[in-house]
Amino acid sequence: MKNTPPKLAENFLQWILKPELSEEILGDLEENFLEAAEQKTLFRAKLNYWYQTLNYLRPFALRSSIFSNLNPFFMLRHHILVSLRGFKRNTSTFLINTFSLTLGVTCCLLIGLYIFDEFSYDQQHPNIDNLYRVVLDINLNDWNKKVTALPPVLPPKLVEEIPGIKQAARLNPYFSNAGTNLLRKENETINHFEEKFVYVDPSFFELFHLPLIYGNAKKILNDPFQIVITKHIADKYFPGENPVGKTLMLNNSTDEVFTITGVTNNIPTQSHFEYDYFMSMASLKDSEENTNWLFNNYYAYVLLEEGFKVADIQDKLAAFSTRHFGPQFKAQQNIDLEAIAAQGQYYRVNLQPVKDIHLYSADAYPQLKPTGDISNVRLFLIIALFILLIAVVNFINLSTARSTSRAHEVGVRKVLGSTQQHLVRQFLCESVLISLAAFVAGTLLAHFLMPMFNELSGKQLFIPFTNISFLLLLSGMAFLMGILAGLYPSFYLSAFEPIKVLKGKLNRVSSGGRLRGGLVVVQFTISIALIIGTFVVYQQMAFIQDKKIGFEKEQVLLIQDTYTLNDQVHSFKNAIKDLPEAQSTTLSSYLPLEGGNRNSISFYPEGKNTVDDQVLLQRWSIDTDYIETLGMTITEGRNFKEGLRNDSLGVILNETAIKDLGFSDNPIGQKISSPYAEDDYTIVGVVKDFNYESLKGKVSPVGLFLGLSNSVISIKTSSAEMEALITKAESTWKSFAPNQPFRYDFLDDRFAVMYTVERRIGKLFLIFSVIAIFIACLGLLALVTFMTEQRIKEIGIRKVLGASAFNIVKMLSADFTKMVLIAIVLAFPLSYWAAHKWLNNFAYHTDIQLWIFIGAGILALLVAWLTVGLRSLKAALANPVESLKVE
Amino acid sequence: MKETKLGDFEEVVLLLVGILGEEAYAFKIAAEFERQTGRSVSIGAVHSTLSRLADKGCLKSFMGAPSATRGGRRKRIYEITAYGDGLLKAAKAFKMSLWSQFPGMAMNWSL
Repeated sequence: MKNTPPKLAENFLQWILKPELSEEILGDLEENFLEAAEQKTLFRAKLNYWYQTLNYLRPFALRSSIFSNLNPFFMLRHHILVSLRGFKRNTSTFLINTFSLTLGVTCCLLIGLYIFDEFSYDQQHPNIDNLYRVVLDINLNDWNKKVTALPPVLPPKLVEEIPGIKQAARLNPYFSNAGTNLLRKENETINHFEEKFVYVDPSFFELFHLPLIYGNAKKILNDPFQIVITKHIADKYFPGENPVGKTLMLNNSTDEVFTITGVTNNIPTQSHFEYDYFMSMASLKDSEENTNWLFNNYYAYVLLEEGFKVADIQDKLAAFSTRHFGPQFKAQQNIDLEAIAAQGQYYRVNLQPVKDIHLYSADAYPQLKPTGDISNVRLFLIIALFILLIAVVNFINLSTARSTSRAHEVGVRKVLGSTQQHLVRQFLCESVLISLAAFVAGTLLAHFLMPMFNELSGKQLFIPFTNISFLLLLSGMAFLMGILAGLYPSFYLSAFEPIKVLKGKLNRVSSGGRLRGGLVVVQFTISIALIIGTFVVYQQMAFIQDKKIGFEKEQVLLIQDTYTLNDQVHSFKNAIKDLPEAQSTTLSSYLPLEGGNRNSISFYPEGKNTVDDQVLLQRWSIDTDYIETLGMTITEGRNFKEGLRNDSLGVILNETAIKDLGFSDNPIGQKISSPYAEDDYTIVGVVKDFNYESLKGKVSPVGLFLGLSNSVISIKTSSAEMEALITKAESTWKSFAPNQPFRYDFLDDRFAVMYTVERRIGKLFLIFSVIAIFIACLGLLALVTFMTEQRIKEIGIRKVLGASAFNIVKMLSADFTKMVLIAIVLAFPLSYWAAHKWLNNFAYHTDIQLWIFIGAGILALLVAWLTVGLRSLKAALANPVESLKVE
Repeated sequence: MKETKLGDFEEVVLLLVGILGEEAYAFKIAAEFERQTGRSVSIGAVHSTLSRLADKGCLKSFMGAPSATRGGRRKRIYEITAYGDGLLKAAKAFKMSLWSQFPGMAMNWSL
C-alpha cells in the first residue's frame, strides 16, 4: 500500500494557508512524512504530520481572511472573560446555578442510560426487522390474553403453509432437562448445580445469528443429545481447550449424556432470553410426537421473507388458526371457533416483533425472563425531565432576579454602542458556560454514583466515555440546555432601556416578579406531585406485603432438587419430618410462587360440558401435609387424609374455583370432570384463596389433587430453630446424596422476588423526588437570599419603626407561602390522576387516601417555610444600624 | 525600520541555508538542524524564520523543480543575499571579538 499523508490534515492546511504558500508547504510536509513513514511506523508518521500541520498555525503562513472570519472568536473570548469575572463576583449564585443544574444533569444522565438500556434489548440481532415471536391471541370466555407458549406441531406447519414465513425455530424451556440440572463431566464424580438449560431447534442459531466460537454451524443441534454451551461455561469446565466432542452427564443419569457440538458467545443481558446450555430439540421426543394442537409448551420464532410485513399475512394466519385449532376445539371442548368469531371471540396465531418483546409484553405470558415495561420507562423519562425542568427554572429565576445588579452593566454597554443582539450573545455565552460546567460535573458525578445506581436498578450500566457519538450528544445537549435556560433571561436583560436604568428608574425587585412567581409555582407543583407519587408507591408496596396472601410465607425452608433422590425421596422426606425442628414437612413442586410448577386444564361441573361452564383450573399435585405446612386455611370440608383411598379421586378447590364453576351452596361432595381426564373428581374441601402469582393479577381457580411432584420439599419451622434445621437437613441430604449439591432457599425470599421491580421503582422514585425537592429548595433559598438583600434597608427601617422579627419573617414569607399554596392546588388533581392510573396496573391495590395529599402539601409548605424562614430570620435579626449606616 | 540584528535561531538557520546550498528548503533545513543539534524543530518554525529572514532582506528565494517524493509539488529554495552574508560575518566578528576578551580563552591559547 502506498503511504499517503492524512487527507484531513492536507485539506485543513489548504484551507488555512496563504494560497501562494500551500504548494511548497504541502510538498515539504509530504517529503517529511514519507521519510518518517520509512523510518518509523505509519501511525507515528501520521501523528507527526498532524504535529507539523499544527505548527503551521503561525501568522506568516495563514491566509488573512481567516483573521477577519475569526472576529466572532475574539468576541467569544471577551464574553467568556466577562462571564468568568461575573462568576467570581457572584460566587454563590454561580455555585447554586451550577450545582442545581449538575444534579439535574446527573439524574437525567443516569435515567437516560437506564432508558437507553431498556430500549437496546434484542436490537443486536442482524435479522431483527424480520424476526417475530409467534403468539396466540386469545379472547375466549372473558379470558383475554396473549399466550407465548404454543403446541410443537404449529411452527413447522406455519413455514409449510404460509408463504412469506421463511424459517421457524422452536424453544422449550420447561420439559425434561430444561431449566436446572446437576451436571458433571462424564468421567468425574462430583455434580455441579447449573441453570439456564433449554431445548432449541438448530434453526434457532440461524434466526438469532448466534456466532459459534467452536463447532460447525451445519452440524450443531441436528441429532438427539447434542448440546451447545456458551463461552463462560466452556471456560469453566474446559479451560483453554476446544470442548467440541466432549460429553456432559446430567443428573447422574446415563440416559442423559450430551455431546458438545459447539460453543457460542455468552448471551448478552439485553436479550429476552438468557441461556447457557442449548440442547437439541431432537432429544425431546415430545417435540416430534406430540400432535395435540391445544398443548401449549413451546415458544416459537419465525423469520419473514425480506419485504413481508405481518399485516400482509394476517388473514392467512387467521385462516390457519381456524383450520388447525378448530377440529380439536370442537371435539374436546365443544367450541366452534367459526361460530364464536361472530361474537368477537377468537383463538388465533399472531406475530409479535422480537424487538418489542422486552418493553411491550405486559399482556403476554409466560415470559422467558422478566420483561421491562414501557410504562415504567415513560415514568422515569417524565421524572428526568421534571428534574431538569426544576433546575432550569432555578437558572431562569436567579438570572432574572439578579437583573437589578446587572442593569447598570447593560446600560453602560448600550451607551457605548452595544446592540441588543450583542448583549443577548453575551448572556447566552454565560448560560452556555454554566451549562457546560454542569454537564462536565454532572457526568463525573454520574460516573461516581453509577455503582450505587446499578445496585438500585439491577442493571450493569456505565458511562461510555470512549464513545464519540455519546460525547457529541452530551456536548450538544449541554449547548442546547445552556441556550434554552439562557434564552429568556438574556432577552429580558438585554431589553433594558439605557437611560432608564442609568437614571436608576428600573422598578426594583418586582420587575419580572410575576414570571418568577409562576416558575416557583411550577417547581413546587412538580415537587408536590413527586412527593405524592412517592407516598402512593410506598403505600402500595406496603399494601402488597401486608395483604393477606392466604398462606404463611415466614419460616419456611425449601429444599430444592429433591427429584434427584428418585425413589428415596419419600424416605428422605420422612427423615426430615422426624427432625425435632421440623413442625411440618411437605413434598410438592407446586408452590405459591412465580416459577413454581404450573399445569392447567379445563374442568366443568359434572354433566355440564358447555362452553360457558368450562373453567381453566390450575391442577396442583400435593400431599397430605401441604396445607398445614404452607399455613393455608380450609374453609369448608376437610384436608386430604393419609390412607383414605378415595382421596386420590378427591380435589380441594380454592374459593375462586368454587365461584367460577358455579357451585353456590354446599359444594362438598359434588363432582367435576374434564375432557382431558378419565375420572371425575369429588370435592372434599375448599381452601381460602391464596395469592400465587404477583398481586398484579387476580387469583385464578386452583384445584389441589393428591399426587406426586417431587422436586421441592418445604419445611415449616420456627425462627429460633431455622439455623439448626438447615444444618441437620444438610447432613441428612449428604447421607442420602453425597454427590449432589444441597440447595435451599426460603419461601419469603422467593415471594419477595416477585415484587423486585415494584420495590426498585419505589426506591428510585423516592430518591429522585428527594433530589427534585432539594433542587427546588436550593433555588428558593437563593431567591430569598437575593430578595432580602434587595430589601435590607426596608427591613432596617421597619425594625427602627418597631417591627418585630416575627413581623418581618411573616412579611418576607407571605409571597412564597402563596406560591406554594397555589402549587398545592395545582398538584392535587394532577397527581391524583397519575396515581390512579398507576394503581390500576394492580389487581389488588390500596385506595388513594386523602392524608397523602394533605401530608404532601404540609410537607412542601414546611420545607418552603424552613428554607425561607431561616434566611429571612437572619435578615430580621440583623441590627438595623448595620444596614442603614451605609449610604 | 528593519531589524538588523540576527537572533540566535535566525543565525543558525542562515548558516544552514549557506551549508545546504542547492538543497536549502524548509524541510531539508529543519532536518539538517535536527541532525546537527540533536534538537527537534517543526518545519513550520523553520519556515516562519525563513520568511522573516527574507523580509529582512537576508534571504532571497525561487521555486525549484517539482519532484515525485513531494507529490509533484515544487519547493522553495533559499539563497543568502549579500546583505545576509554581511550580517553573518558581522555577527561572527562580533563574537570573535568577545571571545578574544574572554579570560579563559587566553589561558587556553597558552597551552
